[in-house]
Amino acid sequence: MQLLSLVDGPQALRDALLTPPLVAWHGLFAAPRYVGPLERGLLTSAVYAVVFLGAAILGDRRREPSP
Amino acid sequence: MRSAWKLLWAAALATASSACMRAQVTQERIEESLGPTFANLVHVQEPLLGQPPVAAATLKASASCRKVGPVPGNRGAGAWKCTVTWFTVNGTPLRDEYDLSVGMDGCYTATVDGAQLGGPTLHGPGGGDVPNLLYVFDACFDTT
Repeated sequence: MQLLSLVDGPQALRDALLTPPLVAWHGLFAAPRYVGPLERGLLTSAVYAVVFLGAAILGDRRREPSP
Repeated sequence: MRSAWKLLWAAALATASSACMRAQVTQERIEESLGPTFANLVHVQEPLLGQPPVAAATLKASASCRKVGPVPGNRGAGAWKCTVTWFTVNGTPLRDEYDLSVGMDGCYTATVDGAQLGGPTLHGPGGGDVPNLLYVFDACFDTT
């Protein structure tokens, strides 16, 4: 992900990476301020969290015997 | 019915590819960032040098940039060359050349090309050295 975020790739690919949001705070300290990358980063992080937490919860439920 | 599906697919593909190919680092975005950033730094620098403060807007700083290298088209990360045109308080127009190294995240480092703006440090009002904010600076712009 780190390597992909450094090369000149399509926007859709960048949106799927978790590394660009790490530097999205720069926009808050720019003049004029911008929050576009931060909003996209939050959305990307939310999607990753939902997908992988969901998968983990489902996997955990299947493993434990129900009482 | 089949042709309708084909049309739908073509439309979806066209939309997806145009969304994919939209450049994030463009000439316009760099120029819109460099001009105001330069003016803001002059605004900060003048009091450091013991000069009366200058409002950034009065400098009317604007930038004109072009990409350096073999890649065609004025877009994409990498090396750029920019000319900043600005006006002193007296209205005298000045031009300064900058070499930019632009990253995919929209952040860049601008280094002045030429001696017009001085070296890395300048003489402060108290006799000491003060950093020359216009010699090399970092800034970022919105790539979305």
